[in-house]
This record gives sequence, C-alpha cells and structure tokens, in this order.
Amino acid sequence: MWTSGRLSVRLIADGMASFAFLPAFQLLAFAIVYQRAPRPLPFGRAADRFFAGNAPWLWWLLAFAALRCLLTPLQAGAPPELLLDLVKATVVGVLAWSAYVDYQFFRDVLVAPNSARDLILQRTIGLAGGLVYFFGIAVWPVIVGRIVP
Amino acid sequence: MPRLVPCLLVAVAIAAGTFADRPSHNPPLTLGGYRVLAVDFHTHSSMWSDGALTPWGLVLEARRQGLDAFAITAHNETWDAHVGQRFSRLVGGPIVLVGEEIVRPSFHLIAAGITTTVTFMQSAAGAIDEVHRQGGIAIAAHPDAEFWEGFDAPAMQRLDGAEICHPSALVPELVFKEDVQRTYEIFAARAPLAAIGSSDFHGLGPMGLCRTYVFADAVSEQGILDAVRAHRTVVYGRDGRVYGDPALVQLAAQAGGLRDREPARDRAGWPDWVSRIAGLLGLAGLIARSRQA
Repeated sequence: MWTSGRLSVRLIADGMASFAFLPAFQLLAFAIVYQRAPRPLPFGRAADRFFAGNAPWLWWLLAFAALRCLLTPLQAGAPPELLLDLVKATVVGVLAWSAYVDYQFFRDVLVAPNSARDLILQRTIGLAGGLVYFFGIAVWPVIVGRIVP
Repeated sequence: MPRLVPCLLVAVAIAAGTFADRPSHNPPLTLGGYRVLAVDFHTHSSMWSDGALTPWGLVLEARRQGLDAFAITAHNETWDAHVGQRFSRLVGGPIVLVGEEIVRPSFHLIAAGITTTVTFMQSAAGAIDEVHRQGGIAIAAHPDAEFWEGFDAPAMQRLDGAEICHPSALVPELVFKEDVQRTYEIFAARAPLAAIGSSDFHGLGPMGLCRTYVFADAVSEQGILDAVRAHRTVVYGRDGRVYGDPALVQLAAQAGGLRDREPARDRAGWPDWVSRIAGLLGLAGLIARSRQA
C-alpha cells in the first residue's frame, strides 16, 4: 500500500513473494525454540498461535499504511523527517509489546522452563536472519569499505 | 462482528485496487529526429537489495508508471537485474538494463548496461573503467556532499552522468535542512555530464518519480546508452527547473513539455480511495479477530 496507495492482486502477490523471508525466518527461529520446550501442543498449532502474537506489528504496519493514504505520492517517495522520527519512536514500543506477547506465549502455552532465554534466542535468530537477508548486501560493502581503505 | 465482513471489505479493496492498477500508455514520441524514451536508471528489487518488489514486479510496475526502460541496480550484484531482463523480454515489457549500484563508503555509482558484477573494492575511476569495458554507462548516484571526495578528478573525467533529480531533492523544505537540489547542481557543474533523473526506487513512493527523458537514435538498450554518452537527456526537477541539453530542453518545451506523459501525482481517483478505506477497515477487522482467536 505504501508503494501505490492501493491494494491490488499484483502488488499483494508480489509483496507476499518479496517478504516471505520474514515469516520463514520467524518460523525457523520458532522451530528451534520449540524443540527445546516441553511441547504441550503439536508444532502446527503452536506455530499458528505463535504467529497470532504478531498483532502488534500488524497494527503498526496498518497505522503507517493509513498514514500513507494521506500523503501524496511525492511525499511518500521522500517522506518528511517527522514521519521517519515517528517510525523510530514507535518501533521501540512495538518491539517491547511484541516481546511481551511472545514471552507470555512461551511461558504459558509452551510451558518453557526459561521463557526469557527462549524469547531472546527466537528474536536473535529471527531478527538477525531477516535483517541480514534484507540489508546484508547493502551493508556489507560499507563495513568492508571502512575496514579496507 | 462476523468474520465475513472484514473478508468482504478486503475483497472489495482488492477489486477496486486491481481495477485502478492499469498500465500507463503513451503514444510514441519523436522530437528532432530522436525517439523520446522515459527511463529510470536507479531501482532496487526485493531480492537481497532492500526493495519492496521482485525483479518481475519491477517490470510490471515500470509499465504502470509509463516507463519505456529502466535499470535494476542492486547493491554490488547483478543477478536480479538479469532475472528482470529475462522476464521483461518474455512478457514484452519495457527495456531492462542490467545494472548495479556500486556502493562504497566514499561513493555510490550507478552502472547500467553492464553484463557482470563490478567489484566495489576499487576507486570510483577504476569502477567506471570496468563499467565502460563492459559497454555500460556510469552515473554518480545521489551525489551528496559526503560522496564528493570519492568522485575525484579522474572519476569526474570518466563519468557519463550524474543524478540531478532524486526523490531526496524534491521536497527539501520538509525533509532536509540543506538544499539537496542545489548540492546536486553544484556537483553536476564540476564536469560535462548527462543530466539524470532517477527514483532510487525501494518501494516508498512511485517508481519513476524522478525520470530521465532520453533522446535516442533507436528504441533499444544500445540506443539509450549511446544517448546518455552523448548527453542527449532532459530531466524535470523541483520547482519547474529543467536540466539537460539546452537544445533538447527547448525542443521539449516547444512540444508542450514531457511531464504530461507521466502518471498523475497529485490526487488519487475514487477506486484508490475505495481500495484504501475498505482495505484498512477490512485488515483492521481481520487483525482484531486474529487476536480474539
């Protein structure tokens, strides 16, 4: 919706292909944590309930999609600094809210003996994998370029 | 609320959005014996290049934005550009130039019309020489002051063009303290360079928001590359400013300008608004229901 200000079959299909890596890394990270837990639920049901905990992120994305509807394509292409500040300010809250939801899930549903450790492990694998996939090639030359003149 | 209601709203949103999502058709334009082609030399796909659309998605989006050609310029690699080029040839889409954004801390350089990846572990002049050896053109990407050091005298002598219109320069009063457009103008004045407008498309805002009108001898990749080498370009920047070959700028003005050929940027039509409102309400309903579940 940020790209064109509308939902269309073409953009939805393309978005699903483009960002499939996000749930893929999340699922991989969850599977690793699941293996370490007592597993009171079958994996499929546990994963389904785990992904329901993505609601904070979905609300956040929806809020910015709504904001995009009020911007002209020109403003969407070069977002005002205020908007970028808003993204930075709110993402911390969403990270915390989402972590709290997943911590509760690990503690109460998976009955994990150390929910905090599982949460950190899941976040480390899931977020790191996603960030490396999405930004890795862009960031790599910047890192190498600073080390090797 | 029954689950059917948000599902129906999303369906209405997709139907309205798909109805509005039609390619932009411009009749071919010839001015001064040249074919005028709208080109975006700087786009990123979602395949390891932090964009929002796949390489084939870029091809379809370019068609919707009325672009005759574009370059897929991933950071320091070219494979997604090859994918996009093959797909476009398969569906009869716009000309896709295999490109690369050669990124180093000291410069960002667009290579277009190349065949294989150019390593970033070299100076700007060395990278430009490699681009030329492959038959491509080299364009300074968003030449902000921090990159000027990388574009030293040997690099400036070798460059074919520089981005003078870029989304970051379009609304400086809202985005940046410095006048980005002025910075690009000063950079372009350092050497005789083709004026280039590029959207640096990552998924925010429209592809082709900034574009280059290339005056080509032929509607082909070679025709576009030759035109840039000969500086036969016209670019429309902020506040009605026009850059490029003065004779061609005048020719375009006599023809009534070229901006009429771009998709409307000022307001959305009713199908867009139906898609937005129904989509937002429907998705909100679905998220709320998923939490309840």
